[in-house]
Parts: sequence; C-alpha cells; structure tokens
Amino acid sequence: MPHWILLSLIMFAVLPCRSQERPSYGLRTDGQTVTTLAVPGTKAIALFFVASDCPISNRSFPEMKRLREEFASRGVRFWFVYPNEGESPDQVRVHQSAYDAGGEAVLDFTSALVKMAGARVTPEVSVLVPDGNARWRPVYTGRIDDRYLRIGQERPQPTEHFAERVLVSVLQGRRVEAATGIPVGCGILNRVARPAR
Amino acid sequence: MKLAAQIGLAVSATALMAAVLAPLQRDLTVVHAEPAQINWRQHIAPLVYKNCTGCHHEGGSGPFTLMTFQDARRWGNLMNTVTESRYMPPWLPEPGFGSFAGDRRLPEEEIALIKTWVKAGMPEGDGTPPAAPVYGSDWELGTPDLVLEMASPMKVPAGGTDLFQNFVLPVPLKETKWVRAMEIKPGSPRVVHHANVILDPTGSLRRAHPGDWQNGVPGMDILVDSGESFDPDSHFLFWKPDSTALVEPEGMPWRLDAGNDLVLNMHLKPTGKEESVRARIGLYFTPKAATEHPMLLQLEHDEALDIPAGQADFVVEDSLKLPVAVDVLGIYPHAHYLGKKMEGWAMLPDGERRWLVLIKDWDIDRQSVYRFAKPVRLPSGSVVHMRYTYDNSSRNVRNPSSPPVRVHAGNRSVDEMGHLWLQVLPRPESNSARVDPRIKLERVWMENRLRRNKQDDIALYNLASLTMTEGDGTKAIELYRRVLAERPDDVRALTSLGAALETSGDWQGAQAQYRAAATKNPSYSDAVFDLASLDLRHGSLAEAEQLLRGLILAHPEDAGARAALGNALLASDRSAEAKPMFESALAQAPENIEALSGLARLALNSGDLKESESLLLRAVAQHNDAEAQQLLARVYAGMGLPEKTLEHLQLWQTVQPKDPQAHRALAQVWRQMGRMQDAIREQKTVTTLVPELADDWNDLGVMEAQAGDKSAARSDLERALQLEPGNKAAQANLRRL
Repeated sequence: MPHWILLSLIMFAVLPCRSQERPSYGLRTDGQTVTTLAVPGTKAIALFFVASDCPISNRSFPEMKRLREEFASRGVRFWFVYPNEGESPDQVRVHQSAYDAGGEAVLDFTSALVKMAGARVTPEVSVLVPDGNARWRPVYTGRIDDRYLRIGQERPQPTEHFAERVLVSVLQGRRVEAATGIPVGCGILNRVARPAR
Repeated sequence: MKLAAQIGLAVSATALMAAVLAPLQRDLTVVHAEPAQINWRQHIAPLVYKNCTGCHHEGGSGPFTLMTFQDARRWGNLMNTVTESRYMPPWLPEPGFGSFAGDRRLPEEEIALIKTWVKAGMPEGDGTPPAAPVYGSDWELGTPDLVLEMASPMKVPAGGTDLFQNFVLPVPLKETKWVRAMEIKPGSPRVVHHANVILDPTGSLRRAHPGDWQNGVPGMDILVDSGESFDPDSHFLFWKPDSTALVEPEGMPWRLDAGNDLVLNMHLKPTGKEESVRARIGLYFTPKAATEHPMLLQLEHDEALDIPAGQADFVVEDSLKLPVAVDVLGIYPHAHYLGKKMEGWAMLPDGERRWLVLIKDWDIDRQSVYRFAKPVRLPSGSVVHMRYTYDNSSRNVRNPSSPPVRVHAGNRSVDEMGHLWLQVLPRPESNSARVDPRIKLERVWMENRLRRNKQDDIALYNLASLTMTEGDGTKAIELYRRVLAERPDDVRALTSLGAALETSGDWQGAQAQYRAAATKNPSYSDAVFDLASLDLRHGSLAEAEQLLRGLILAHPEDAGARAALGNALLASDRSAEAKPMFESALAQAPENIEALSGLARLALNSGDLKESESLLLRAVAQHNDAEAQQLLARVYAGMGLPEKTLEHLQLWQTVQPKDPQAHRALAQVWRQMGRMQDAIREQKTVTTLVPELADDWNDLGVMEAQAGDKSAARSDLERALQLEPGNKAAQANLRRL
C-alpha cells in the first residue's frame, strides 16, 4: 500500500522539479513537453518557424520538407516550430500531417524558441549548433531562400537556397554566411517576438 | 479555320488579401475622424466587407478570412503593408487611363484609414458591429440549366512552379442553346488563380490530344479551331478569385451548339500541400437569341518577341486601323512573366488620343479582363495601338530564367506573349450595303497579321475563307494555294481549295483536291463528303456510293451522309434502296432538306403530287433551297397551277440567279402561258450565261419567231447552227422560218 502512495507522490513532484532543472522548448502535438531539442552527437538543429494560417509559410513547406529529407540522415535534427498564440495541438497536428507528415512539430507557447533564435516571421529558419556547454546557439536565423522579395513579389522559383548552404557549411565545418535580406511572411503573434516586418 | 480564341491563361498570385468587385464607396465619412476614433466596428469593418471578404471568407479564394475583428487584428499589419504597396486589392490598371467597371483600386483615404487604425493598436470600438456579408457555397443564380465538370480531379503537387493546364469539357447538347450566364466553381479556389473558358466549336483541342484531354493539356495559351463558318461572336469568359456568376449584357448571350467543347484554361498555384482540383461550370440558358454580336479583336506581334537575355526594356508594338465604328466593351491585356509596362490606346481620326489601358507593373498573377464602365466609342478610321515593354534582365524578379536567357513567343511559362484583346461591338452603319461589319473587322485584322508575316497560315486561311464568303472564288483559290505552300498536308485547306475550285466551275480540279485530302486523311469526313457530293453531281455514282457507305459506317448518326447516299441511289435508278436511306436520314434529323427533297422526288416520280408537295413545303419552310423550289415548281406544274409554278421558279432563281437552268425553266413556262416577251427575256439571260449551247439559241429563235420577230429568230437560229452545224432542230426551224 505505501508503494502506491509513493508513486503517486513522485508523479506529482516530478513536473515542477524537472521543469526547473531542464528547459522546456514547448509542447508536442500529443501534449508532451519537449525538453531536449536533440540527442548528444547531433551536428545541427534546424528550426523552421511556421504557422498553420500563413500562406507563405505553407507555400515554403515543400522546400523545408526537401531539406529535412536531405539532411536528417546527416546529423541534422529538424523541428517545425509553431510560435503563434492561438495555435492548438490538434490544429498543428492536422496541419503538420498535411504539409509534411514526416516532420516533427513543436508548439512554442512560451516563446522559448523564438527568443533563442530571434525569429520574426513565419516562415523563417534558424540553424543551431552546439555551443560546447551542452547548449545550442543559433548561427543563422533568416530567410530559407530568396523566392519571396516582399509580399506580392516572388520569383517563379528561388535562385538562392540559404538554408541549404548554411547546413552544408555547418556540416563541413566551414564559416556560416550571415543572414541577408528581410524575411518575408506573416508576423509572429507572440508576446516576446520582435515586431513583424 | 477561323482564328480562334487564343487566350492567355490567367493567374493571380497567392492573394494575401483580395477584394470584391463592388465599386468603392468614395465618400466614406470617417476619413477625417481623429486617429484615436478609427476603429473596427465603425470604420474598418465596412471597408473590409466591401473590398476584401469577397475572397477572404471561409471557403473563399483568399488564404485566410477577414470576417471578424479577431481575423482583422491577426492580419492588420499585413493589411497595412499590402494596401500601402497596392498589392491588394489586386488591380493593375492605372487610374485615369481607362475607366472600368468593378474598379478595385482603393482610394488613398481608405489606405490611410487602415494605416491609422493599425498604428492606433487596432481598436475594436463601440456600437453595434456591422453585419458581415454572407457568402454561400451554392450557385449564385440558383441551379444551373447545365453543369459541366472536369472528367477527373487533377492532383496539384505541393510545390514547384505554377501550372497552366487546359481541361476539355464536352457539351452534351443536342441542340443550340443561348447562354445568358455562367458560373465557374473552381473546386479548390485557393489553388486556382485564374481561369478562362474558351469555346472550342469543333472540339479541336480534344481531337489534337486524344490521349490526354481528360487529364488536362499543359499550356498557357491555346489555339482552337473555330470551324468553317464565319462566326466571330465572342465573349470574355474569365474567372478570377472573387468572380461570381458572369452575366452577359442584355441581348448578348453566347451561343453553344451541339458538338461544342468548353475548354477550361486554368492557372494553378501550388499551396504547399498536395491539392485536388475538380472544377465545374454552371450554365444558364435563355430562349432569346443574341441580338447584339460582339467579337474579339487581337493586337499582337509575337514574331517580334525575340528578347535578348539581360535586356530590360524590349518593346513590342502593334496597331490596327478600324474599318468600322465600334464600341469597345472590354479589354484583356496579356503577357507572361517578363511583361513590365502595357499601354493600349486609340488614335481617333480627329487626332484625339484615347487611352484604353495603362499598366505600369504587369503581374501575371493579378491579370484580369477589364470591362469598361461605359463602352468606349471609336469611330471608323480609329487606330488601336498596343505597346508592351518587357524586362528580361535579372532585376526582373519574376523572370523565370536565372540567369536570363533569350526568349521568344511561345506557350510555356518560360516563353513570352504579348496580346491585347478587345471585345468590340460594331455599330450599325447607315450607308452599308449590308456587309457584316465583323467581316470587315476580321479582314483588316487578318491583313494586319499578314503584313507582319507573309507566311502566317492562319491569317491566309481566314482571309481565304472570308474571300469565299464574299464570293471571290478566284482570289480565294490563290490564298488557299498560299496556305498549302505553308502546310501542304493540311486536309482542310485542300478541301477548302476544292470548294473554291468547284465554285469557280473547275470541278475536275476540285475533285483532285478532295481526293488528295481524303487520301491523306481518310477519316476527314468533310473531304470525303464533299468528294462524294461532287461525284454525285458529276455522275461518278459508284465512287460516291462507296465513299458515302464508308462515311455512314464511321458516323452512323450522319443524316447528311445518309441523305446523300439516298441521292446516289436515286441517281442510279435504285429508288427502292433510296427510299429507306432517306427515311433513315429523316429519322436522325426530321428536317433534313436533302432527305425531304429526295423523298419528294420519289413521290413525284410515282405520281403522288400531294405527298411530294407536303414534303417540299417542309423543306422550304426552313430554307429557300434551290432544289426543293425547283421540285415544287414541277409539282405545281403537274397539278396544273401555272401561277404557283411561276412563283417557285422565281424563288429558285433568287437562290441561284446565275443558274441557266432556272432561267430556261422560267422561259418555258412564260412561253406556255403565252407571255412571249417575258419568255424571250429569260431565254436571252440563258444565252448570256451560257452562250455556247446551240439548243439555247434554237429555243430563243423559236420564241422570237412565235413572237413575230422573224429577223431576230433567223439570226438566233443561224447562231445555233454556227455553234453546231448539224443541229437538226435548228435546221428544221430555219427551214420553217
């Protein structure tokens, strides 16, 4: 009998205790908290900031999916980050499954990832690398490619694939180019996000 | 093959915010309100409901909704950005260069209003919120009379460049209908960015793509074959994201015949996930035929589209002098991705320059047909101009090629186009000799094309057809021969040349052309039918019968072929076989004139004058047919009714004024009635039309003699003997004289 009571106490005790010790990066669509972005040994993390109601974000999914499929097996961990207030786990699950069923979604309800990456709009990519202290630091946050110049002005197809080049550079241990241009998309609706452009 | 609708595909970019067609209310009273007072309920909601929610509603083509305050707050910053840049509402024409119905351009004050509201933190405000418009998913005008649907859904991939696809929708009609309104339900409005419906009168696209027409034929622009007859009626059947039912103006329904196809020419934009598109077209009919007949004219100079890589200001121009006065009802500028500036204007005979359209920053994604608020009146002699500027440099972000490449005219999105379509309504001409003004327009249009490109086979063919319509067989023959120099294997041009030769009296030449066409393509029924008909008229009955039996085998529903075979059998003295053939033709087409006449001839031969008369009256009730009139005259002659005989002979003559047979028959009847001067006049006409036949001169001599003019009679009889010295009748008549 004491055994059962004990277990119950542990369960109640664990959540606040772990949240203090380990960071929360948001929620998966099944309600689980994301406490680890990547297992040790991962060479880079790519965060794609997306929104279920943003048309440019949606139209960028094929490129994000392509990158995920190409680089996931090369030591890059991908997350589709839904930073907007008002996104629900169910909504995100349905959306993610329609646009890239193989990708993993995280609802950044505390803005932890937006803050960490400095993301401003959806879609936007942030590439993180290990900082040597078991933490991650962004080396690039900005445009995925150059398809969109501003709202209403787009190329038939991109001519520059920034995210791809950054990932290749990271994997090859080369210097990562600085982000250029202004990301085009929908402003992130999130209390700590920077104003949308 | 009239030059047919060659309409560019349409498009519209991912509409981040679009607008409804309703004209803007220019006198919003809130414009001068204090910034703090600008709020959703009083100021922004009415503006959004009027200009934006036509697309931005649940199930609409806009990618998000703007129906509520919460929606507007979510997208307020974006609304501010896209209205300031004038990306939204989508509207390309510059103000002051043409006045259009449904102008979507927001006035500056309304743009300022949105900006002020967003800056003020997007307050909701107090008071009763305005009622949001209601957008249903049903057909706007109720259940259509006919709904056409794509044969199967098309899968649009998640990503990649835009797709331009043409879907053929056969029209299951057995009779002609007039369409007063049409509504396109694109199926997936967020994927379809533009659509044009093109009438394909002869099913030419389906014929050209037997294997894939149901799945869609790729291409931004299509050319369809309008068939043989001159029928230039044409309408802009255009859909863009906020389109609802397209209702034609009073008196201007468009005609849809049995056998027509509608081609749905769609611009599809990938959304990021795989989509399925299955469009429907709802048609609404009216029993009233068109009383006004607009046509489409095109300015273009595609041959000049040879744009060097890197050139940022490549200009293409065209102009057309109008031979008649017109009202311009609408305009459709079209280019692909390199088009930058588009200018369309008219120079009036008095030197006035009248703008039709000016677009400074062309965007294929937001193209549209523009209908003038009031028709633009252009007097005869006005010159319509287009001047398009293209940017093929890398600075043009829409350039589909990176780095830029040399670009020519073509159908793919990486090719270019430069078209300015005008819908014009020719105005009635007071002093015209009843020449259809559209023929004049078509002629100058085609001549214009030919001036630019002497080998333009479409222009040559259309000009040849027009020339035939105008009755100049000799000139038509020359033009058809020029078409054939470009396209020697074109069976239709061969067949048309045959028809022109036949009209000019060279039936052997005609036969050779028909045979050449039928040999090149035995399934080309026009050539086979024309050859059989010619054979029938010139006694090659065995060949005619064989050809017609082949046609009937291939097309059992072809009443014309059945009736023609009936005639071939009748001419071969096989009346018993002819009768069921005529009857089967009538079973297919109860008013087939050939079959009615054939059966009437059989009845006449068997002495059943009443039956013959009844059949022939049915025939001439539809059409003043020469053969039927001739037969009716024979029926009434048999009944002993000379007045009615005369009446129908004269009707026959009105159809074929140059047919000597009609004049001969009339001369004989006048003679029998004792009206010798009338008889002589008709017979003289015969000898003018065919001066080389001794028998005609002999008959004229007899009539002169009976009228008492012996001198004239002698001269005519001698003429007969000069032409045919052994003519026994003339010899006897001269002796008697």
